[in-house]
Amino acid sequence: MVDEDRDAVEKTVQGNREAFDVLVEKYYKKIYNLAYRFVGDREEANDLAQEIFTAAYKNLKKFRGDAKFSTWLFQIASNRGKNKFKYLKRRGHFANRWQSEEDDERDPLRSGIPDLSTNPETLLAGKQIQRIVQKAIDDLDPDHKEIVVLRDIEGFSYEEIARILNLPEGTTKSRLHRARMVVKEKLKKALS
Amino acid sequence: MNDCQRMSDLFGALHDEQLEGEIAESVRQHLSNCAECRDDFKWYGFTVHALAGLEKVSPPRDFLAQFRARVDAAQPVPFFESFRNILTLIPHIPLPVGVTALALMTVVGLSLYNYGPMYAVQTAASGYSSPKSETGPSAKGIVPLMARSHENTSASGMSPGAAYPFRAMPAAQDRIGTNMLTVESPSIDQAVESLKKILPDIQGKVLEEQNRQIGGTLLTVVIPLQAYGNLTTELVNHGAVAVGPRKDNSSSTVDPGAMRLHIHFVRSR
Repeated sequence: MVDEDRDAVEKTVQGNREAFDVLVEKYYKKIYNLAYRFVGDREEANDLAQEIFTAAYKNLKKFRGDAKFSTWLFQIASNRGKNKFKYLKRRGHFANRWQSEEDDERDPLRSGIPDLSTNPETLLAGKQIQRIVQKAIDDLDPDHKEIVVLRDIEGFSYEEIARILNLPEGTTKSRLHRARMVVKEKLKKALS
Repeated sequence: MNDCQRMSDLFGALHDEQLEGEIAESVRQHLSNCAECRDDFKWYGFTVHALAGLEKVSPPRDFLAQFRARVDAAQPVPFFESFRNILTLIPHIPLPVGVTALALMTVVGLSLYNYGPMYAVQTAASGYSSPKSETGPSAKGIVPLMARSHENTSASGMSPGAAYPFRAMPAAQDRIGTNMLTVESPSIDQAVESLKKILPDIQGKVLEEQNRQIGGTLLTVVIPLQAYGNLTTELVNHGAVAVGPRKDNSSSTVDPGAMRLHIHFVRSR
């Protein structure tokens, strides 16, 4: 397995802090986006993404190199994301956020089933749709959420997800299917 | 499990185009005949598109700078730096106050270390003036204290220091380290007499006695080296103050196993 990040990893482990900056620059947009999908809030997402990179930096010596650095990094991201999501949920973060937005929501799409024959990009570009989808993700349980984020939002392959989550590929697929079905029902309910 | 349920379980594979052959054909056949499943599959596809179509959220521009600052903050802080950080931890406390508080804590800590918790409790309970109060108006010089100490020592065979339950008293040489003590007493004569009375018991003797008009009485005694600890500790514990080493100008010599001790008796105020 070729890991193009190996050089930067080795230099960082040898004490070159700047070498780690290369890795941060390469992955921070993806990690931030993943963090945002876990917590649904820019400020919390920034905290979480910073926390993920800090954890990776501190634990880099434990990285054995038998997987790609990106797999290892997303493993950390996924674990931290799930934990942060659970923590925020316990504190009522999501309930409060959506409640305040629902109060002023006047969604034209709620008037009926969206016309799925129209261009999906046009339909999905609506701000309200984005919100509804994010809310549906927020309502997922952590295991479903992480798999939806990794596959459907971040675009990892089943093989990569199986490696990140340390699951058999078959389990990954069936779990993703169940998660999608849950989101589908939420969307159906919200948009019909 | 009915056909519709079975079809629904295959939506994922169908959407990802992972179904082949007969199974793929039977699913397509079912969808063309079942409006409900067809509609459901449309929603399934819409969901996958909706998830994939979520806008990418941009991180703050200074993300990397924030990260660098965070990592720098997590670096181990040099000892002196961490010391300064402790003192400036609470911004409302000025640095000098912090230093004073730390010095006070150090003194209390050292006292606890040297004398043991019981001594610290006794000291705290009676206050620093307690030794003086023993030699106050109601006390008769150092007589009762010395006598009690002497009785304890004789009766139990223990050193005065061993009377403290938690920790043996350190050698007085270590604590006092001087051959010159000042004792305050309301009655200098009685204090001098009481000391003279116990000297024979410790194989000590008076070498010189100087009566000073204003400055009280200066008693120079010779005592065995091994008695120095007990005697000076007892004197200090009852209010004597160690005033530093005094240079011996006397031409008379003492035995190698003995030492000269100067005790200055002054009237207490």
